[in-house]
Amino acid sequence: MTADTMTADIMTANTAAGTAERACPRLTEALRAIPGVRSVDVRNGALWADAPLLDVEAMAAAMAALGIRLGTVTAIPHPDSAESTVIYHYIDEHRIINVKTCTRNGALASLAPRVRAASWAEREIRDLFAVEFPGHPNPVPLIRPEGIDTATLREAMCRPATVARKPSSPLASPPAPPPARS
Amino acid sequence: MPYSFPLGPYHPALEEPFKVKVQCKGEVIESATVEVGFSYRGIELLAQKRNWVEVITLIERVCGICSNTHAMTFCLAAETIAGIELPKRAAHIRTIIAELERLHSHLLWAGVGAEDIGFHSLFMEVFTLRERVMDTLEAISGNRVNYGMNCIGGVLRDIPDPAAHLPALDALAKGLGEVVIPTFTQNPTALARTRGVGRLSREQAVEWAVVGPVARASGLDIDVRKDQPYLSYADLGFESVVRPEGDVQARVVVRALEMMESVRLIREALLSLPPGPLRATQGLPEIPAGEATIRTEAPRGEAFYYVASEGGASPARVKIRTPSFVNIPAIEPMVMGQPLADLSIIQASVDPCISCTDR
Amino acid sequence: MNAVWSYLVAIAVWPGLLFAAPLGWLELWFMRKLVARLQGRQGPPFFQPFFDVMKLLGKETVIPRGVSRGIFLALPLVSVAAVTAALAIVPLPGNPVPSLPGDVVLLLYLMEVPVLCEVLAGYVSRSIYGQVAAMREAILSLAYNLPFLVAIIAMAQVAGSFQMRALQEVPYGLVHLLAAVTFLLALPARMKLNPFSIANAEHEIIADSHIEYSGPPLALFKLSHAIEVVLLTELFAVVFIPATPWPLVNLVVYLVAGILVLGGVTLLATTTARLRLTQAFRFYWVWGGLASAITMAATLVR
Repeated sequence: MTADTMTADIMTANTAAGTAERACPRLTEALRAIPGVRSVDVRNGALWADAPLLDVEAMAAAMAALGIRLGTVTAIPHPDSAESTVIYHYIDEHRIINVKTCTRNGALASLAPRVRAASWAEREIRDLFAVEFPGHPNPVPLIRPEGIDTATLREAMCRPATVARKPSSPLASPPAPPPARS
Repeated sequence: MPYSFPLGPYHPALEEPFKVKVQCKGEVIESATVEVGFSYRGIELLAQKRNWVEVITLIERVCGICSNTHAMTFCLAAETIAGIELPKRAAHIRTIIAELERLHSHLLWAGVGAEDIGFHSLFMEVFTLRERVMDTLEAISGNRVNYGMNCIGGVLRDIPDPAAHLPALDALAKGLGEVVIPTFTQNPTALARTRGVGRLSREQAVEWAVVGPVARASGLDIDVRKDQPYLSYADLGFESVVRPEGDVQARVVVRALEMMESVRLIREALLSLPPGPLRATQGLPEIPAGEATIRTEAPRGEAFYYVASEGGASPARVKIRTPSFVNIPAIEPMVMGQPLADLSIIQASVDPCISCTDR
Repeated sequence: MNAVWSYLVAIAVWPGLLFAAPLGWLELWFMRKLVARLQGRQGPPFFQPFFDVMKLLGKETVIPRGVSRGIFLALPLVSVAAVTAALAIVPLPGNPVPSLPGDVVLLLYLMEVPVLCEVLAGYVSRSIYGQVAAMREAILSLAYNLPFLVAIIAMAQVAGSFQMRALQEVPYGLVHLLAAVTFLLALPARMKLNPFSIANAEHEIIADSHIEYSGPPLALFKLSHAIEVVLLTELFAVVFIPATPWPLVNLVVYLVAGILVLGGVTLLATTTARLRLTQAFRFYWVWGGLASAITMAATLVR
């Protein structure tokens, strides 16, 4: 063993990735094996796999082989481009596995033909964030009303919020002492 | 002659807007399409425009029946990001409110389910029983709906006299055991309408990834309170209720027995309320950059929240996936080959919460 | 009094509209109050059914596009007319109408007309919900008409004639009891109450076959329903309750019997859910058929 691998081992043991290895080695192994996954670590009690160039269908096959169900799919629009971050949330009954990836040219392969739970999640993301999922068996609008284009939320979500740090409700401040009753 | 029968969005069976369009031949349904989105309000967008205190009030109003679940799950997510440890007393109080909410939600469902099979008297009985739960919730939080009990770091109100709520629990257990459960499981006309109706096999339940009582009634033993215990469920001990049949009767029985379990949990929690502070942090919470995914057991199943923060005054992204979002699509396989008369009770039996689905 | 006048009095006054409508409203109020009290509620005030009809009379009639106007508006009138005419033939004490041979057949025919009007109302309305309701009503009537008609026909068989007065004067026997049970079996479905309220299942098909009706035509349909309640209870009382020689006592007995029958039917309605069409059909052809067979057998034995 060279000094580099020994240092690497020590570093792994102390990082979130190391925690993942210890907690569920088989799962971490399977996640790392998915083409496109760069790193797997434990953050805030859930398993996070970072995979900017994820092979979505390989991920679906790997999860199906492990018997893990899809919880939902989240999309976070990027303010400066037409891409979005897409997170696939898988739920193995004792832990949550999140696979974070990015759309390529505003599209990602659809999981819906193989995974039923993805069908509605992808339709909603298409309505709200204009992410295309080629291969979806039923790409009709789910959430948006008739006559409104896709990407209803993109621009509004990316606009920075002007939010007061303190709540402006008078109920949020400590109450004045009640007036003395005679 | 085949015809298309739309049920909704002015829905006769549930007072919520969603549409099930069925293709029928005679009285038999051949296929169904579910349409939602009629009460979409863009809450995920609005959440990004509110600060960390105002957003709880907003999130609570995603739904009226499971309002506490949403606020509680959001607060758990924010606390996870910020690394705030919940005081024990706050965890117990949150558990009590969550279980009370489960009770009122299941009773509401039982009443609506009874109405949908035409059993008006049972509906009246169940709703009279539900008033006991609503009275308890009002006594604790001041509201019958949207309790406003959760804040990031703890709860806002105390339960100063836990023993005062025990008689209501006893009356509830008595009503459930003597009226509701026997009527649903023994009345011949109720059985005739619910047994063997709307079957979802275990394989279908796994394929459609259903959660909550619908999954547990099809033989899938999944319950967040058992699999990944949160709040005080690990301390109080929790037994999940599972049935293998997968029909409407099984879902009724699962919810009824869950209600009995909830009564037991509330009683245990009230009797073992530990002393201590109500909140871990005072004043405005400071949530650093980070992201968390939390799931809790809402009355309808697993509620999933993804909250991302960039250290700012408002959340960077709030993603809400409610149990109805995965349970409502499962209506489509359940109604195939069933008579049209059963459409109403089958779609009521997945306990759809449209406000939750549409957000 | 000559025949025409006697018929007019019978249809308009007694036992016609003037007395039957309030009596029907009274009986409907009784049913609703009983249901409410059984469910732990207050229930409606005494004049509620009357208020409902008055409210409907004041509302606008909306005729859906493409619906034939003539038949749409004629159906409620035909329904009320048929039910009132049927009631005029029932030999209640003080009924001025002379007894005719064969008026049982006329009565049974007139009693089918309101059912036919319901079914037609559903189909004419061009609404999918109305059509499903009409289909259910039609199929259900095929089911409950078996015990209903057999009960009356068995009594006619025993009386040896199709004259209502003869049916009323048959000496009391076992056939009365069996035929009464058979008649009562058909009653919940005829009155569209649980467990056979299939045709007006508001959680399955929004409303009954009157879904597109509003305003005065709907008020007339409701009036027809009220008079039908009187007709059914009084028919039951006249044929199956033994008559005393004093007409006034008979009247009181018939009214009380009617209230008791309604009470029983309401009690059944509050303690049951609603069955499916196939289950109701099977029930009526199996159990209704059995009751009918036993009743007819009893008539042959005598």
